[in-house]
Formats: sequence, C-alpha cells, structure tokens
Amino acid sequence: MKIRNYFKFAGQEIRVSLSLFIFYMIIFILLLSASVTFLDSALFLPDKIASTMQKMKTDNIIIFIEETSKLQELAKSIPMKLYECKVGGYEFDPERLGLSSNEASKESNSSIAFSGGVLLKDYQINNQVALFISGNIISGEFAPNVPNSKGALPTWISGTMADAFGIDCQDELQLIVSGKNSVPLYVQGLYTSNTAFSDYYIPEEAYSLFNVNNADSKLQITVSPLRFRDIYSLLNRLQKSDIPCLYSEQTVRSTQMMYAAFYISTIILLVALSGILLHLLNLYYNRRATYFALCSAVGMTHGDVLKILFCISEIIIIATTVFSSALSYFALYKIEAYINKLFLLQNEQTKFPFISLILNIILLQLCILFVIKKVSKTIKGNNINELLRCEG
Amino acid sequence: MVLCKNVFKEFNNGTTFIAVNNVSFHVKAGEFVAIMGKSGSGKSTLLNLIGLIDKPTSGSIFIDGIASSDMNESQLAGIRLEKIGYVFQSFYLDHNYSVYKNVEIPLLIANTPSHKCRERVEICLEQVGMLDKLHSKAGTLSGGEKQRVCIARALANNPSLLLADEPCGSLDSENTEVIMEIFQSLNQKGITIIMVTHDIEEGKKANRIITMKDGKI
Repeated sequence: MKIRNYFKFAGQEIRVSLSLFIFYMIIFILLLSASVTFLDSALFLPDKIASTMQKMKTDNIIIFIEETSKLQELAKSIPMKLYECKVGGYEFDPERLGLSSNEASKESNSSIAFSGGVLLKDYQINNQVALFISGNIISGEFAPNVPNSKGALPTWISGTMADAFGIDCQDELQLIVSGKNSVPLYVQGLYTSNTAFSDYYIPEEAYSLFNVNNADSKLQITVSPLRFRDIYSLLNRLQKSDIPCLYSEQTVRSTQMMYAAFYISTIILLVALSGILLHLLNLYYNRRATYFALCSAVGMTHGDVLKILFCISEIIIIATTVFSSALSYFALYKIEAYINKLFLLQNEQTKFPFISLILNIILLQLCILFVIKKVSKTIKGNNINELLRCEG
Repeated sequence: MVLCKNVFKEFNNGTTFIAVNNVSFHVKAGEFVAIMGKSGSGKSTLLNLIGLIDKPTSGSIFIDGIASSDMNESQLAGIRLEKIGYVFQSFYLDHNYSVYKNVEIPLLIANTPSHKCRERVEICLEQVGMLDKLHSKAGTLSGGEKQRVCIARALANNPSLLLADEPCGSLDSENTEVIMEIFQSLNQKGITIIMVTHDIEEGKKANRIITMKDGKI
C-alpha cells in the first residue's frame, strides 16, 4: 500500500471514532504541553535564576588551595570567574606591609580597616581582580611580574589606602613574612577603591615567598563557574581532588533539585503519554477488530494494519503538538512573568520552546515505535477467521 | 482453479475437533460449485481454507497452481487481494462508511489510483444494481442491499474466484433470488464461484454440488 493510502485509512478511521480520539487528544495536549513546559524550564529557567544568583554572588565557591596550578587545571575544563584571592589564616592588614596604624592617623583621621589580597599571575580564569585593577588605575601602571631595578616585586594599592598612609607610586614597602624576614615590594600603581576588592594586592611570587616561611598558609580563592550548571561538576572535582571549599549548600542543592524535578517530570509525563497512547490504540483496535479482520480478509497484511495505526498515532501527535505548543508557550509566559517578579528581573519576551518541543517530539516518536511494537504482538496473535466469527 | 489435496483442519479447544477431514477436490476455472451440508459439517471451514483466511492443519490447497502452504503472510494477503473475492453471510460492511467507501476498501489496499477507484466502484455497484445508493450510509441499507454491496466489494479487484459463505442465509426469498441471479450472471462472465449453502434450492443454481458430512465430502 502507498503511504497516501495509509493516511487515507487513518483519516477515515479517526473520523469514524472522532469522539474517542478527541477525548484522548485533550489528555495528550495537556500532558505534552506540561512536558514541553517542564523540559523548557529545566533547560532555561535555572540559568535565568542562576544569573540572578551570580549577581547576588550566592553561587560563589571559596576554594582553599595551596598550589594555584591545581586551580588552573580546573579552570581549563570548567570556565570560571575569579573574584577574590586572600591568604587564609593570616592577617593581611597594612602592618603586613610595614605600615603602622599610627602612620595612617597622621595622614588622615580615617578609621577604615584595610586588608590585602593576592594577585594570581595567570589570567586564564577570568581574573576579575586583574581586570578591575587594570581598568581602574589612578596613577602608575599595571604590569604584573615586572620587578623594579632593585629586584622589588610590584604591588598595587587602592587610592583610599594610599591617601590614608601617604603612599605614592614607586614607594618601597616590605612584606613582613615571619620574624624579621621580609620581601621587598614597590608600589607599581594605585587604583580606585572598591568595596568588592581588597585595599592592596601583592603578587603571587611575594605570596610564594611568604608561604615558604608560613607553610600552613593557604589561599582562599573565591570563584564562580561561568555556566551555573558547571557548579556541580566543579564541586565534584574539588571533592575528588580533596580540595576543601565553602559554598552555599542550600542554594546549590535547591537548584540541583529544581533541575532534577523538571527533568524527572518530563520523563514521567512522556512515559504516561506513551502508556495512554498504548491504551488508546489497544482500545481502538479492539473496537475496530472486525473492520481490520475484514480488511485482512480482502488482502491487507498485519504490517498494513500496523502502518495504519502508526499513521493514526502520527496524526494525533501532530495535532497534539500544534495545540500543546500554543499551550506550553502560554504556560512558559506565565512562569517567566512570575520568576521575573520573584527575582526582580526585567521582563523579556518569552521565547517559543522550539528546542523542548523538538526534543519532546523525538522522544514521542520513540514512544510511538515502542507502542506500535507492543500493539503488533496483539495483532499478530489475532486470527482473521476468529475475529470475523466473533462478529458473526 | 482450486485444488484441495488431503486437507485436514483440526480445532483444539481442550478437546480436538476435526472440522475438515481428509478433503480432496478440484474446481475448474469458470465453474459454479455449491458446497452443501448440515450445520457443523465443515463447509464454512473449508471455504475459509480455500479463501486463505485460515490455514489447514495438514494437506495442500492450490489456487491457480500455487500452493498456499509455500506462501508467507504477505503473499497470502496478495492472493486474497488479487484473485479472491469473499462474500460473507454477515456482510461485514462498515455502517459508519458510505457504500462507496465500503466498496473502495480492496481498491485502496491494491493501490488503485483514485480516478480508477471511482470508475471501478461504479462498475461493481452497477453490476449488482446498487449504483443509485453510491453515497448512502451502509447502515441505512436493507439486508438484500447490504449483500449486494458486499458482492460489489468482493468484485472490486476483479477476482477470478468468488467465495460466498451462506450469502442468502439472512435474506428473504425475494432477495435470495436477486443474489442468486447476480451469481449466475457473474459466473456466465467467467468468474469461478464456490458457494456454501444449506438450502437445496440455492444449490441447484450451481453447476456442481459438493456435499459435506462430518468434515468429509
């Protein structure tokens, strides 16, 4: 039989049992639109929430690490931003640079507490500190890894701290390591003060020299993966490498659960949909068994019957897809509006759920094939003569 | 046209029942054969075996020299489609469909182009005097009309063999007469007819009568 004729049979059969098919189609529309909505939410909603979380920095992970090379390794496979780098367990106040608090009060009456950080020498991990300093230099320059003629390492100081201590570019400072030991530093540049960053930064080489004499010191590096979903793989990698870290477990777990809930709901809905489709085809076939027995008696094969059932399924699914795409678009629009309101985000135009719809259709096609295979067992087990005799 | 060689058919529903017991006979092309016998004698079962809608337990059935036992499901369906027309006692017309749609079924299965489909349906309905009911719903027809539509459907693919299982079993004498006249006219056009009946008057219209008793000829 030609494909056109299969569809002709299928169309006629749908018309004959229209009320049955419409009833089931309404169920399919509801299930498929829910499935598309859930899948689309699973694919895109967490990223939207994540962007808010990134803005609020609730997705930040503080990694405690000694060798920065390990961080570089991680950053190669998981692109991430570095927000801050401090030395854990040690007070890095101006006194660490040999600046006394009395000196600060001489220059200004400020009682601000200043603290320092470390500038990592590699830039491969979107080092926000380096980007900030280089973009906010007030005087001097930002040329890391360039010692001065006396071999002193460069350091950078915020404008506020420089004012408080009367420091200027090219001034020489000493990083107090332990006891009377120190590392010579010089002020290479001054940058605009910002509460998100430390008041001064020493280079990684200086930290290394400090670390030699203070073996129990570790860097506290605040990072955030560029893609929110990478947060789980980063945490796993850190756990595997025995690198301790701090993160908002509640936030991460709840979003992880949200991902899982959406994906599991999609799968459950698709399984339910294929189960109902199987039920529908069995119900329909049993209602029309005599008709198909007659068709077989006049020359239709079991394969032809199955192909007609396949065409019926396809027609129903196509019609279902059309209606459910509209319904799921509406549902997504409502969900996005709610999320935007909840997270105080700007309202954007809801995107049509193409990807989710296509993924659902592909999964549905697999479901149809599975259902047809199941129904074929019933059909092949039937005897034309017995079916006709039942009717007779 | 049709050759049955030592055909056996057993049914096993807890106890074994032999419906057709070592039956052998030959029907030549153009013959009009009536298979007669009491209820339960195995005549309908034999007709189903000849019509390839049931398989014999043993023995061979040849249609136009081709053994049915050598054919797979698809080939059997092909023979049913091209060579055999089947007229049932219960008509098996779909009451939701029009007369046209009912007669069109074998033509759609045979991939007949739509314009030829319509032409062929009209010819067949004209042969049985039902052309005026082309667009009527099958459910609105009388018993005699339904049987005539059933014959038209059996003729749709221009078969060389027409099998009729008690075609007048549920009809009054007037309609029986009409149906038998149609069969005689079709036979005169060269169609081989094998008809199962228990009515001696209907049997007399055939060229040859095969009588069955307890599954044997």
